[in-house]
Parts: sequence; structure tokens; C-alpha cells
Amino acid sequence: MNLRQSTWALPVLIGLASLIGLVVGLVGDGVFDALGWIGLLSVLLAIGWVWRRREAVRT
Amino acid sequence: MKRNTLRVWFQVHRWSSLVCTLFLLLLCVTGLPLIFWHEIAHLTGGEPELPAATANARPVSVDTLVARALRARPSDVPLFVSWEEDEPRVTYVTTGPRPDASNDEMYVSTFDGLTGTAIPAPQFNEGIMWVFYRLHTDLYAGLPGLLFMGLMGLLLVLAVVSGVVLYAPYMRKLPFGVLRGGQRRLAWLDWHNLTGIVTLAWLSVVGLTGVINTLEQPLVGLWQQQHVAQVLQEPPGVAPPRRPAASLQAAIETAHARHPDAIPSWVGFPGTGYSGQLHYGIFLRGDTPLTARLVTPVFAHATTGKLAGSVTQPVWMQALLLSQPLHFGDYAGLPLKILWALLDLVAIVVLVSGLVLFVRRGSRAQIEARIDARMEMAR
Repeated sequence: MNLRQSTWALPVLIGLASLIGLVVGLVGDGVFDALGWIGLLSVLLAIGWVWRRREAVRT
Repeated sequence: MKRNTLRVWFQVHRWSSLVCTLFLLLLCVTGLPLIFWHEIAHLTGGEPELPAATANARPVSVDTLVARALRARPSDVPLFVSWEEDEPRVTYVTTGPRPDASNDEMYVSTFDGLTGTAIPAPQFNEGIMWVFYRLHTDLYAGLPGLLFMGLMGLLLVLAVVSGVVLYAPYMRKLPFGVLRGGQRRLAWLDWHNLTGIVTLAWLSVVGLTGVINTLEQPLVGLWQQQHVAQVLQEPPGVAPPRRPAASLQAAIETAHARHPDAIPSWVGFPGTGYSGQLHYGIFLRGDTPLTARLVTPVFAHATTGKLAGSVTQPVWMQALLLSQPLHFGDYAGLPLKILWALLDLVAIVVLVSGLVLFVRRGSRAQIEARIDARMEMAR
């Protein structure tokens, strides 16, 4: 199934990545911090990704 | 979903958002520089470079530093002593006209704890950052202002929840993140849906922890009454001493000996609201971002120096202590702060696009037609 066509797949994935990122960054330093950044970066990457592909789905 | 249910959620989303949007815009705009408060203070001389330490230099006693701070401000009483987290040589001694002085009345003397010399540093409660801070927290209105902002935060949570409910029927037939450009209302709606749904988790966490932070004063007061008072056993109605006689340095060392793995984070003097009227509250921290926030208090009598014991924090105090980093984003280095700032900007897009959608909502008939269309799409 196409991830973008599913109503909840990507929102749930991004939400989980954000929450895990928020918590993991608190637990420790170093690699934990980096995992935290990646989790929250998913929000910005998602916006960038759909912005770049906006022509493809214009209806 | 029934048509009437959808309409109710529309109303909930519209009104909860409308009431809080302007305040949330204020919070987003003032919060942006506050994310970098530490860095800005550093750049503007708030944390000057320290001279290199000579070998086998021994730290100066905290009592000496407090005495020096008070000699420069003889009518003040001591309030707090704290240490810079990543440079414990930097020791802050906060004084004020009364033990229960407000933030505005406090004065911070900064010392090099190794040489005992005073370091000239700007005050935290002056300048543009303090204006941002007051606008962000209490609107210059004290506790009522804080609680009002907390209420706005609760409305944000309601707006987020109702927004998620409305997202589903609208996006049923559309791909995630569809962006149909142009000047049309639809283009604003697409951006509102996209930015709203991707910031759902972050905005909920920052919103809820912000609400919890507005409750700090009442929660700490409750903690004092319900937990700390039992340990301290102070006579009722007693006034705090203006110049506590017991050595604070000795009390810190005794507390540290009890918890050898913990690091002293800050000390509250008697009457400041954290350690009764007659005691020092010595707050010890761990060294991970998590345990650095979950401080353990140890209390020592400020006249006799006798240790009164420590208190395990109830769950709701731990929630309060953890709400601070989760709201400020200051627990995983500069990259997290930059992400916090970018997400704050995305949140501004959510708010502005929502406002545009309201302004361009059209006639009642058009709104009803859109609800019909949404019912149709959700089928």
C-alpha cells in the first residue's frame, strides 16, 4: 500500500519518531542526543519531502 | 462520523483556536529568542571567560562568597546559591530585599568559585530577554498571568485534539501532505493540515509541559506543605533568619557525603519557598540530562547546621521537574535548540494559516457546503 495514500501511516510514524526523539534525548548524551535530533528532524524532512513533490499530486 | 458530530468538532476547533491564537502567536514569537537565552547571554558577556586555574587551587568556601555578595548589598538577604551546569567554577549568589522577593527584585552576584573574585555579569532580570521572558510566562501579571497563559495552553491542547479529529475525514481520499498551490483558501487549508499534523506530537508536548510549568508556584507550595513540612518539623508562624548562622559550606559537604554520587546543583535559603522558614534546601543532581533535572533535596537547619533529612519527590513534582527541559528543548545541545526554533516557526505557520482560514471562512452556506463535502469525502 502507498504510504502517502494512507490517512494515518505517515502522521503516526512522524508522531512516534518525534516522541521517541524527545524522550531519548533526555536519557543520555552523545548518541542519545543524536537519536533525539533525528526523531524531531523527521517533522521537517516530511514537510520538505512533500514540498518538493507537490507538483506530482496537484489535483 | 455523523454530520452533527463533525459540526460540533468544527465548532470546538474554531473557538478553542480563536480564543488562544493571538496568545500562542505571542508565545511562539517570544519563545524563539528564549530558546537561545543561554547562548545570547554568552555572546553578550553573561558568562565571561575564566582565568586558567592554578594547580592545586582549592575552591573558596561558599560562606565566603555569600558574605562577599552581602557586603556589596548590605540591606539584602541571601536567597539562592547555584552553580553553572557545564562550568561549576562559576558560582551565582542571588540576593534580594526579602526572603520571598520576586524575580524582579533579585540581584545576582557572579563569582569564580576557585579564586573567589567577583565576575562582572549582566543581570538575568534586565534587558530585552527579560521582557520576552515576562511576555512569554506571566504577561507582567504574576501568578494570575501565569495561570491565564496555562489556560491558553489547555485551549491549544483542545485545538490540537479537535484538529486531529477533523483531519481524518478530510484526508481520507487525499495523499499525505497534498499541497495545491495558488492563492485559494484550499492552498491555506493544505498547509494548515500538513503543518498541523506533523507538529502534532511536538506541539502537544511543548504545550502540555508549558501548562505544567505555569503551575510551578502552586505545585511547589503544595509540595512544601504536604512533604517537606513533615521532615522539617518547624514551629508554626516562625520567621526566617536574615543572616543564617550555620555554615552553608559545611551543610553542603554533609549533604554531599550522604549522596556521594550526586552533584550540588543549587541551594535555597530559609524562607525562599523551597526549604521551610528555618532550613537550607540543598538540591543535588545526577549527571545525565534526566537525573540532572530530578534533583534530590537535602535539608539542613540554618542555625544549628543539623541535617533534617531529605524528601523523595512525589510523581507530580518529578513531572514538573521534567516539564522544564521538555518545554525549553535545552537538553541535547545546540542542534536540538535549532530544531526547537524551526519547529516553533512551523507552529507559527499552523497558527497563521488557521487565522487566514477563519478570516476567509465565507458565508454560513459556504461553511455548511464544506461540511457536506467533507462528509462526502469521508464516506
